Amino acid sequence: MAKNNPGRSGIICFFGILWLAMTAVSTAAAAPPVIEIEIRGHLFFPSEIKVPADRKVKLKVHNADPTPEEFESYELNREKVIMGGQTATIFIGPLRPGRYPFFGEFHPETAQGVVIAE
Amino acid sequence: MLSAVIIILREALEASLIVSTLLVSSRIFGISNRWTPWALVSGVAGAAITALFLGTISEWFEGAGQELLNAAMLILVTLLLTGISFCIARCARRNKCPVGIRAMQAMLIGAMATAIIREGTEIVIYIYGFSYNGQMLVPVLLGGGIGLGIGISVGVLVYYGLLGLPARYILIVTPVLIALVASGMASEAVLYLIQANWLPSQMPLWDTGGWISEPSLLGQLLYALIAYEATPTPLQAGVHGFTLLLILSLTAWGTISKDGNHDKSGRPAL
Repeated sequence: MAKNNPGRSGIICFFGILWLAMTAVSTAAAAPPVIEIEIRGHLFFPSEIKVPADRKVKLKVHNADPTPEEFESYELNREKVIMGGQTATIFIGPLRPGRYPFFGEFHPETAQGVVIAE
Repeated sequence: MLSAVIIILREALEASLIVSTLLVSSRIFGISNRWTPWALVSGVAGAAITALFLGTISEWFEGAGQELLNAAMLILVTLLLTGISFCIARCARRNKCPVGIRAMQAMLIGAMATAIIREGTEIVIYIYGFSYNGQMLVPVLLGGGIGLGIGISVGVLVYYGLLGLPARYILIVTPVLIALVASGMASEAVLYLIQANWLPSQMPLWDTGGWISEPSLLGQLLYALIAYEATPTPLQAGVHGFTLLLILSLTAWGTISKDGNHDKSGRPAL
């Protein structure tokens, strides 16, 4: 009835505009650079990764071990479980210039790396 | 073994805080705890099943499946906790429960089971990862057991700590605690969506790592309780603060009686 329509169309409009705004924001930026990391023997290869500062970056982390690992970083605010043999996509950034350590939470003694934004 | 303790403790702490506040809420509503075993069992079973399928789930939505699942669970718990907080306000003070006992039990079960699935999945996967390696498995299980034990102990402390307060303070502290936990989960959901590129990413708004660093003990405790982040993005911080205010306002509004007066004389069902 007439009572419901203004509220409902208002909500639809709001989400429509929000979606358009977010699409505009994401397509305005160029595609993020892709950086590949491999986990092998509970170690990261490479363990030191250079990324451009102030840009979103796409990490593709391949877990070549048979056991799961969790890619985690306090500084980057990222955590993701990667099952054995799987490749995970993790977006990081935009980062201020600096060093951002990351580690494998399941094997923290060995699985350590750092993202250097410059 | 120490890393096993810490890893399991982190997950167990988050879950046990939620479990305790839900058990206290159940007491406030005057419902018996008969629903609790159902929630625990479905939570643990759900965690095992999710762990089993996490590989498949992670591939969905072009690799964003894991983040989407986590965000969905976190948002679900946030909504349920909001409902529970509102019900505390209406039922305990006004004796005007907006929903029946079955519905309240459903909310409590839903929130507890989902929270356990969310934290438990990681624990299951972690332990499963060491089941290949007999040598490492025992210390991992021991360490995990210790971590779980510590986490549960903290939950027990919170439970009895809350119930030990004078009745009128319980009715204030519990909803505030729920609001803090729920708004933290909402901001965690936002973080997962940013990680999967489903929400825009931004430069951090501030860096409080100099005061409370995330890996420190205090940082970890605050993370478990309110999803403390040293470097939140504006979107994250905004959702966190907005959700906190929203739940607190909703709960405060719930305490107001129909004629606009606050009811301070209501006897809570404790």
